[in-house]
Amino acid sequence: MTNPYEDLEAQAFWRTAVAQKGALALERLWQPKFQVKPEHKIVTAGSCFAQHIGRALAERGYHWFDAEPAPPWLRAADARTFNYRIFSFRTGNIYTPRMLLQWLRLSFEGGETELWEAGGRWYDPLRPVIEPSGFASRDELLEARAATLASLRRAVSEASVFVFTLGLTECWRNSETGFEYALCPGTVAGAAFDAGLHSFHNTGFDELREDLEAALALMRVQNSDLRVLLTVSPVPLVASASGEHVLTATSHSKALLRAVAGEVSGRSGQIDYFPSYEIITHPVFRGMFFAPNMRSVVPQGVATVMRHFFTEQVRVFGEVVPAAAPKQKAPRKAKGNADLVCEEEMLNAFAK
Amino acid sequence: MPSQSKLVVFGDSNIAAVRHAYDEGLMTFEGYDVEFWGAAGPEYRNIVYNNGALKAMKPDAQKTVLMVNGKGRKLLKPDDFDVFVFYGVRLRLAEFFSAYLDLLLDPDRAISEAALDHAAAQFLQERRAVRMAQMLKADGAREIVFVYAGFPCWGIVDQTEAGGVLDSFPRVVEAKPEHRARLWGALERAFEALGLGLIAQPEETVVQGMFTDETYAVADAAKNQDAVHKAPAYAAKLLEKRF
Repeated sequence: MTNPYEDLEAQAFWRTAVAQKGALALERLWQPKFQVKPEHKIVTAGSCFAQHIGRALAERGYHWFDAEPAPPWLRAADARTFNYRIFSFRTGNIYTPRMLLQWLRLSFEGGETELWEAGGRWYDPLRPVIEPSGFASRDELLEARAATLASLRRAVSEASVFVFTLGLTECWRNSETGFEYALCPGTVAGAAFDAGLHSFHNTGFDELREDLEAALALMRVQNSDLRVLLTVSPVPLVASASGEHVLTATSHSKALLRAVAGEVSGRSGQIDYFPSYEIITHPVFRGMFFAPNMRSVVPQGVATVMRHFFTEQVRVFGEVVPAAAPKQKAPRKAKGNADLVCEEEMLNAFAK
Repeated sequence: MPSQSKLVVFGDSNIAAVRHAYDEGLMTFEGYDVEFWGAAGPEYRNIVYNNGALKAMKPDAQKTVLMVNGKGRKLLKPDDFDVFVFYGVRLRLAEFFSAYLDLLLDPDRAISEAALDHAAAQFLQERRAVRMAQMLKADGAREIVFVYAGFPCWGIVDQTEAGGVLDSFPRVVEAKPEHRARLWGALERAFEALGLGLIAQPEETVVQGMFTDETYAVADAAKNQDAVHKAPAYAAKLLEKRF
């Protein structure tokens, strides 16, 4: 060997791996560290792009773990309105590593947070839009949060794979308590913006990494076998409070999140990074997976991401047979020969 | 003498308890001329709302409704009566209560009032009798009141056996009045949104979370393993809340 590049495979060189292939024939974008089997319980959480991954896995017969199922007789559309079946638990979007850490600490270590009340309705600052019109009371909010925290505990404890999509670095925090809000107070119902209390924070690399590592460590304590698949949301910021143009602010955020994901996943065989971000955003794809607003990801983009996911899993680990859908318990029927008894009742009463 | 309002008790085999209660003088429907109309079991399932009237579609069912009515009434049209009492009518609220009491009693689950209202509305939409009542109402019926024929009677069949309520939802025996009140409230709001009324099961008849006191079981309930049908006294107690 005269130099280290001589024996590298084709995917290491731009000309053979990218230029000669073209965007839609790219291969080996991902070298998965662990197999994701259909029977594995797969949890999805994080920024909004994670919900696409969960849905695509379920459609392929994989066991997407719904740890907080919708209550009975809630129509599918209503269930989505109330934010069931979006992620594995009813947290709503978890945009940042700090938010994930907050949720996990509340779930496994307990604690309280501020709660919002406006116009007689109650709002959870961890997920202020989880109920379309807010909660009817403080107790209702706390009961709902307790249910979600229990679901999160169950998900972390029982899951085989935890897919987490990193979304933002920009956030708003309570300057007195350090509590990080899911959304900027004042932009949603529940709380008025208070410039003296609500402070903007654009999280840097070290803090992002520390929060993410702390969150993953906390999960590992609960489930030492848990494998984590990190992704970065390709969806640009809807707005930036950084003072920068939203386009450059997006680049800043995504670059940091991508770097943190790479850094953290590089340190453990149980943590992997899946490049859905690159598949959607890289110039090679010429923005073809974005809707005309250049923000929303079109279905073909999600399909392409998932095609790479399954193709690379098969390449490295071989074909898998999707597990049969778990059998649902048959609906309960009243005991006894009801029809026979019914007719006797009628004859006794009316045949005279 | 002022003319009486007209009322019909429509339903499945559970209307037998009402008939007995009426015949035995346990209740009078004071101020109403009363008729009964309905059928049991498979024949009840042959009653449909069609061309502006409730009617039995097959000969056996037609024969039964005529027997039940005793006045030769083959159809129930929206303007035939001032009040339609939909009694029993396979509402099966025990399914809703068992699933939701179980949820409310589970410390790791919760549902908001708003989501519960949506679920109650959907549960009703899945009841054939409710859809028939909506059509009857839309065609001009003045008042329609649903009457739930009651939770299964306690102590008649082993509810912990396969298919029993406690087999799937053992927690429900811990349900308290406030739990039931939440669910009745959601169901009442859902009925009201459809322009329909609901008479809920009286609290004093409920035991063991969501069962009916055995004293209200139909005669020979144990012998027939019939936890569903109730005694005339139960029907009287239920209907005296409104009539």
